[in-house]
Amino acid sequence: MSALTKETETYKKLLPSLLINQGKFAVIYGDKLIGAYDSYEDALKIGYKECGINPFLVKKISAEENISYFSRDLNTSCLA
Amino acid sequence: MPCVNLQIIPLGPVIDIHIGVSAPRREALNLAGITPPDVVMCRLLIDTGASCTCLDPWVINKLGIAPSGFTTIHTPSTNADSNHQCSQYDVFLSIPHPGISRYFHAMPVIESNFSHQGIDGLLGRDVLASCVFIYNGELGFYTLSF
Repeated sequence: MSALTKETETYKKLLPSLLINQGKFAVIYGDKLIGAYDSYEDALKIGYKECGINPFLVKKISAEENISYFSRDLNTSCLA
Repeated sequence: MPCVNLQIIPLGPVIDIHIGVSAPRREALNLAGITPPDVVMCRLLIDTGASCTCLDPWVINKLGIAPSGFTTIHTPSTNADSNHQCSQYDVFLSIPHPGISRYFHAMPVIESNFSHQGIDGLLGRDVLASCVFIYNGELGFYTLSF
């Protein structure tokens, strides 16, 4: 299981209230929302600034989960 | 616009690129007094059938990075009603060019095993979104402009 289990749960719990920032990138550390930022790189910068090298979650805020498609099978560790 | 013209080999249109820790992580490592790992050269297959770039676990392990996100994936063996979630990792990626290299200072990638296929990963449409890719099967080469 990912090191981001808690952060993932926090994201899912906060998602309804995060939707006012749909399209932005949320940064979550543990059960705390650090903020929502315009770009992936901006979100990462804030995440590393606030959390150092401890694991944190960056997630694009979306009412519906964005799906990445692949025309070949991947051998990857699935979270769910 | 810089471009590379390379031969299409039996594996397909492959390209050697540099992968490292993302620029924000590099800065955080420096602030923590930790020397960031060197970039690694990876052979990626350019794959227009991949939404995003993927890397073999050896690359992720070499860079010593932990997941910083998750995404939902759909593959040919995925049931329509049960997509998978997998971890994302933030990396730096550059397409080397003698003139002007193309840099992606922070981008998310996913991890999957590719070493048994003779490649280190897939260069997906997230990178191709800012490139021009021409596949000339007739003459056996491809062009990537960026």
